[in-house]
Amino acid sequence: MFKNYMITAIRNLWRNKTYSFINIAGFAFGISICLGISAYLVHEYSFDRYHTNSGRIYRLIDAQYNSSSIDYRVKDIIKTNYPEVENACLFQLLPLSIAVTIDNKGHYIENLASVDNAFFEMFTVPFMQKNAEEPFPNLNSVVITESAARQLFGDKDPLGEEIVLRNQFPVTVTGVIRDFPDNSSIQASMIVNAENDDFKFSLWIENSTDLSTYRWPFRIYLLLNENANTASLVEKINGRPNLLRPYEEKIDLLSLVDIYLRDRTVGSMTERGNPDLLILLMSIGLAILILAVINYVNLTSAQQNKRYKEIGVKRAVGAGTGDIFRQFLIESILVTFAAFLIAVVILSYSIPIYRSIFFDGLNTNQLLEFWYVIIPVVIVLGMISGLGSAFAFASISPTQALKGENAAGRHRFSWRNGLTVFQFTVSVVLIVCVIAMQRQIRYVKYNDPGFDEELLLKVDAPQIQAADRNAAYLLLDRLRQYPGITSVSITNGVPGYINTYMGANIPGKDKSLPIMYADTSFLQTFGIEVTQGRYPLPGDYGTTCLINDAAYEYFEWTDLENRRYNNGRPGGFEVIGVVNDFHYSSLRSLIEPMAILLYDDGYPTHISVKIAASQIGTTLQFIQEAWQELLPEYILKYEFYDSWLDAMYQEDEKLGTAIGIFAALAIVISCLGVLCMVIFSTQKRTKEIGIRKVVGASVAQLVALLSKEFLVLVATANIIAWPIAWFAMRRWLENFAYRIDLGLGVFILAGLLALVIALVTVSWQTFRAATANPVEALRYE
Amino acid sequence: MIKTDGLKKVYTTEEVETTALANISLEINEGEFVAIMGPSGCGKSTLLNVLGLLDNPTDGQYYFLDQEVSTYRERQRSELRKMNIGFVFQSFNLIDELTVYENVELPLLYQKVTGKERKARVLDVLDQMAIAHRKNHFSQQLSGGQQQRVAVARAIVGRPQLILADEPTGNLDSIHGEEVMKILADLHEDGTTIVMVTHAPQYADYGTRLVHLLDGHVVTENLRGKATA
Repeated sequence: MFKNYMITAIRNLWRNKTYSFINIAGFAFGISICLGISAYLVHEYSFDRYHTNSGRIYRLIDAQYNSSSIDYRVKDIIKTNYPEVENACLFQLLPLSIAVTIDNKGHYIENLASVDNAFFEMFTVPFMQKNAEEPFPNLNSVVITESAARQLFGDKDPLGEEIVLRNQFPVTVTGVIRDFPDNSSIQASMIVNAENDDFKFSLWIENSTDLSTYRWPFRIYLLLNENANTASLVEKINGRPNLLRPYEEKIDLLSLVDIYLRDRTVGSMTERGNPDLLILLMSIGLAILILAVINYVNLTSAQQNKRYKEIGVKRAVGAGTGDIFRQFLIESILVTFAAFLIAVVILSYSIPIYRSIFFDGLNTNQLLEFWYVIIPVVIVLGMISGLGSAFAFASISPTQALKGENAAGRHRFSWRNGLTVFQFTVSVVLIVCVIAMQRQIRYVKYNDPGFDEELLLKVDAPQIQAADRNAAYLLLDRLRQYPGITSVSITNGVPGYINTYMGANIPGKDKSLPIMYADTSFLQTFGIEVTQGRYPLPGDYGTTCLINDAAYEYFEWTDLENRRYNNGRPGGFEVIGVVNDFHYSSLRSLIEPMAILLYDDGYPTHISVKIAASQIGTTLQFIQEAWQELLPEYILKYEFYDSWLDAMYQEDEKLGTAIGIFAALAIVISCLGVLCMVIFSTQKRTKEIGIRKVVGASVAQLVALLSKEFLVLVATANIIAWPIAWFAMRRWLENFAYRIDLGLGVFILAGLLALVIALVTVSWQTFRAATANPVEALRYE
Repeated sequence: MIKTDGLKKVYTTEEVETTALANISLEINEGEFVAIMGPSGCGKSTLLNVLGLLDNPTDGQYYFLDQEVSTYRERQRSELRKMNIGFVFQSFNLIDELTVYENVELPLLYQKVTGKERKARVLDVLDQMAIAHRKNHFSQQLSGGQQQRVAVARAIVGRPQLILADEPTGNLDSIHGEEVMKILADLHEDGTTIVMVTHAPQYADYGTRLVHLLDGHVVTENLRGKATA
């Protein structure tokens, strides 16, 4: 019997090649988009699950400040006092380009991590080479990834080789590990031993004269026992606050598998995903799939009358309703399966497109591992798609079927129209989203950042060895004197990269603020204005600071009399002025309070150079030559601020492009369906068209008559789509502190676009039908 | 085998009520060959559909094989139908997507006959209808007479006790028409009960009994001597 179903299905598809092609191709297309999106979703949801212990690893978080930074000494306290904790490790990352030297040759390495030996016991980090039992046999050991090994040593065996970090700290390679996979929230290319005090990268000082208030913030991961209860462990730990003091007041735990998508803490130093984006993509994938299913259902039911004889005969020779139901359900599953196989082929060819939308390493392997989910889903999809026609065919009486009658087909506004309305609704929603997103992204990109980023060059400041300090000062002097350069500023932290947070010790205002260290020419170089107080002078270094308007408001000050920013340093910093708010992070977030501490030494991360207009080329050449002459062992790395800030919105731009592409595809799928519906509808009305022509209807009148039906559907779709789109976009825009207004224009534009698309789709076919010879049309009967 | 009492069939649409069968009381015994005649629209095909359990009557009783089936649900009717009744249609009604062999095999598939037996029976009946050499052809590749022979083969392959033929010669020329009638006569000879609707008096003569319908009523019933081939 199954063979008979197969044969009938295949031969039927073959007989109606055009329909079958549109039907299966549209379906395959939809499924392949859904698979492409799923490949990305699977990747995003798989983060950190590859670790053998992933279900048992948790990160400690500071519940009081919602921060991931915790003093390293907390690790031992927790490990010794709570038997549920099987193991614990330290982790810390410098998310910067680090200058490293090998045999006097300089390189840059991204992402230097600092961990202890326990890290390798807890996490699944496969070693390719190792020369001791423990990854770090001594304090100066370094473990590098295979990519870093290739980059730094080429084909040479890296084990035992010496690397000098930041021209200051020599370390020896004791192991080579595989690269962290794409779906790891921890990314590092070089790992040093956290037991070494030199590699406790950052320091918090509350009181420089009292060593007990020094803090070395780390991320602490715990490996819990199989049957440990996290809630009760957290309760137990917080129940003995004295144990954690003075380092912590209150902690919480965050599961490793939740870190990528659900971490809301400050300073996590791990990769972060965007769960909202995933939900959006999931909705789009699902919508496209539904559109494809609707097409299938619509086209199959439009073809129904061609199958009546077959059903009538089968019923006459003994087929029951169940047999007919089964036949069409199986047929639908077969077609869906065929579409699925084609979709897999389409996907394999279109994967570069998905890579450009999502990320370079995207592949389908991870997705295909879920075949045991995918196959049943395809079968269910086939069943859902076929359910309608299976019911319709099974419920038709044998005599009706033999006569070729369709009792349900006489109604003008059928459920098929409802489905077409749905398709257009989805299309209009997507069009609105695309327009609104493009506008918002443009708005963000061209919005005034509050500082003058034109012709402003960002140069990475390397860690200068003591012996080279004079050369570095000389370089700065030369830059300042060069006529093509208007201003030079040295800072720790720049707009788009701020890595330091400090409390202000102001009662009731204990939020840690982002901090920049800057010299006195910072304001001039960045074109930032002082709105209150005074501009800084060279004598201000080390004792004074500036705050922004937002901080002034946050502290609820009304003047600057005796105002101090007490970050823990004795006496704190005198607040000498307030500067205009400028964007130091993305436009997604409101400009939050921040402080600029005035320093002329310390550890600069960047040199910002304001270049005079019309002299860009020669100035860049001058900088390169001067650098090469004075600091030949250090690598020069620079970038203009405008492109650096643009990069911040790359994710949004990519998302905008992705939604644009998916919307276009969704519209194509909808149009395919509409096209078939028009063909079907004009075929059905051939006689009517003929008679109308004979009694004098013009071509224009006929085109209008035939198109009217579809225009009504588009109009209905718009009415449904607008509130949905408005709601969806308002939610998305809430992510941005600075956003466009969703005017009525966006909706009208989307509606008109949908209308034009629908008109273009139906016009050719209606025109053809309207211009056909009326004799032909009447002979059809 | 068949007994109807006051059989009535009314088609109702939104505005019109059409009585296709008004009051049909009829008895057909096993082994009979009944020819039904009458003008177009007199209810011949409707009667055949009701007798063939493709449709339920609106009113009246219908006894098929001593069971009152007029109120049977579709599931029960299809069970009875597939085991006992074979249909031959005027327009052959072969499924275009299936070959001759597959068309004939269809009733056996629904009867859940095993593959081996199916094959033997299909080939046997195709031989009997002298169409075995075209078994792999599609219906469009056959002449009208050949198509109707396939349709007859399909009607008898399930070994039904009753064959219902709705103008089996209507779409055939006289030579092919005669050929199909001879086949039906042979089947009757072998004991199959046949009820046939026809317009042509010469084919009605093959029947052992002639029933005239007019406006949904039986007007006359004539018993005839068995026609000779």
